[in-house]
Amino acid sequence: MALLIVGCGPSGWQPSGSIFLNEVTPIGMGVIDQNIWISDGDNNRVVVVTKDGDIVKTIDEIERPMHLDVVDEVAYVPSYGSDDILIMNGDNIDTLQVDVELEAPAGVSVVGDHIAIADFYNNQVAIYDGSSWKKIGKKGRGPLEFNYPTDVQIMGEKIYVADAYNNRIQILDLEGNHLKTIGEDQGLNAATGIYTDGIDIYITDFENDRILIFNMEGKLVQMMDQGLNKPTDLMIDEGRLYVANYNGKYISIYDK
Amino acid sequence: MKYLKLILIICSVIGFTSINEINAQKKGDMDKFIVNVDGLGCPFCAYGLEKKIKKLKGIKKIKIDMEEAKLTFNYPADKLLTLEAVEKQVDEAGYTAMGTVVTRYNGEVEKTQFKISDKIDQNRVVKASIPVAGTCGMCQGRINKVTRNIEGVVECDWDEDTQILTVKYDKDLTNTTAIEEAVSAVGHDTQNIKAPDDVYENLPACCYYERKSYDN
Repeated sequence: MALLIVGCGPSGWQPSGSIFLNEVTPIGMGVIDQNIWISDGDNNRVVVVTKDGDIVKTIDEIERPMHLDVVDEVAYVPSYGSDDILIMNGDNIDTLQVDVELEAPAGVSVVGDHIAIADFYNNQVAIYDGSSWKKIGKKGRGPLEFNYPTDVQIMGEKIYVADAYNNRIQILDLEGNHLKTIGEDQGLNAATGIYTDGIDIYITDFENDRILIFNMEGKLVQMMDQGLNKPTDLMIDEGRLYVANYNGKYISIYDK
Repeated sequence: MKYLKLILIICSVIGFTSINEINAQKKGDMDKFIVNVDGLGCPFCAYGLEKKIKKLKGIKKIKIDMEEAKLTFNYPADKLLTLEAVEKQVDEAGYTAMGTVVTRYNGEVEKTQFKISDKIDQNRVVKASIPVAGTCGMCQGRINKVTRNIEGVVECDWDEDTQILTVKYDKDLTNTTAIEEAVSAVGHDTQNIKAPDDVYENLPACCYYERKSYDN
């Protein structure tokens, strides 16, 4: 499958291959021990594949797993169907204790003692600061208002939120205060998956089959719009960019 | 002869009872529902619909087929769940049921029927193209369904690319204003009528189209 990168010079990300997943419909992903953990939403399972696409194991009967996060050897998996965050450690599955009500958690990020959850149907972000939980936001279109957030990532002292159906990214501090909104002028249609490496911010533009990359000031630095098929999530691992394509059932790989 | 008659009556009663026992509803009997839902292209909305339908007590497993745009589930037969109740649940969740089939525990099949008014006179049928805002297959299903249910409408189709609702209707039974009112009432701005903000805000996530300003 040919993949092209449009809109940037040779310093940008260039396509370098794909991982085909057969019947796996990827929504979220993370890496543990060189293997890719994938939330296979349509099939109610988490699938672990090698970077060649070979299935290592499946964890079944997970109700609609979404944008997962991994910390060391542990996967944190939001279950959109059961309103839980599952903790998968080896063969053990526990449930994260969350002291606020979630309705359809769609994304989770865990860094040290801090946890953030995209709480889809409540149009909020749930935040844990190491001692207590609180909910941030409400449905709407202004700052700290969300329209079905689908993904979050904590990086440094900030929380990056994929404010999916407001078609933008909101950046909060760890207390939940609004810092910045970016991407509103880019014609996004469902900003579903977010990733940052602390240098740039990556967002999937689900309906338009695009990836947009912004610098920390919110300026667009690269846009990819070829070879993608309903992208839902992205991540960088060992210097490579991986993009999960929900409809296409493959992961696109890019190198610099 | 008298005894023969008695034996025949007894046999008839036993036979009737047996047949009734075969058809009788037993605990654990399930009805199977298949609901066609337009535009299940986005997993967030599709899984959301699944959550809403699961609020009908008694549903444990529900299967969503994104490519076929249908959801399938079994429901306890003794609850006597109707097609109308299922479609109402789907519609209240902001989605559009485009036809439901239930196979009852005893093999009986029921389907939703869409009727065209018998008052329509083909000589009075005219065609109109009405700009209507929307963004996805679910919008298409909602716009088409509400238009089709207007008395006097013969056929209709909303096109996502052109944002045009093409409709044929009996001009003595309805008009474009009534059609625009009906479409805007379910959340879609038309050329002349803005949908109520609260209805727009309650549309499923993928249906948020870009709104234009109205001068009035």
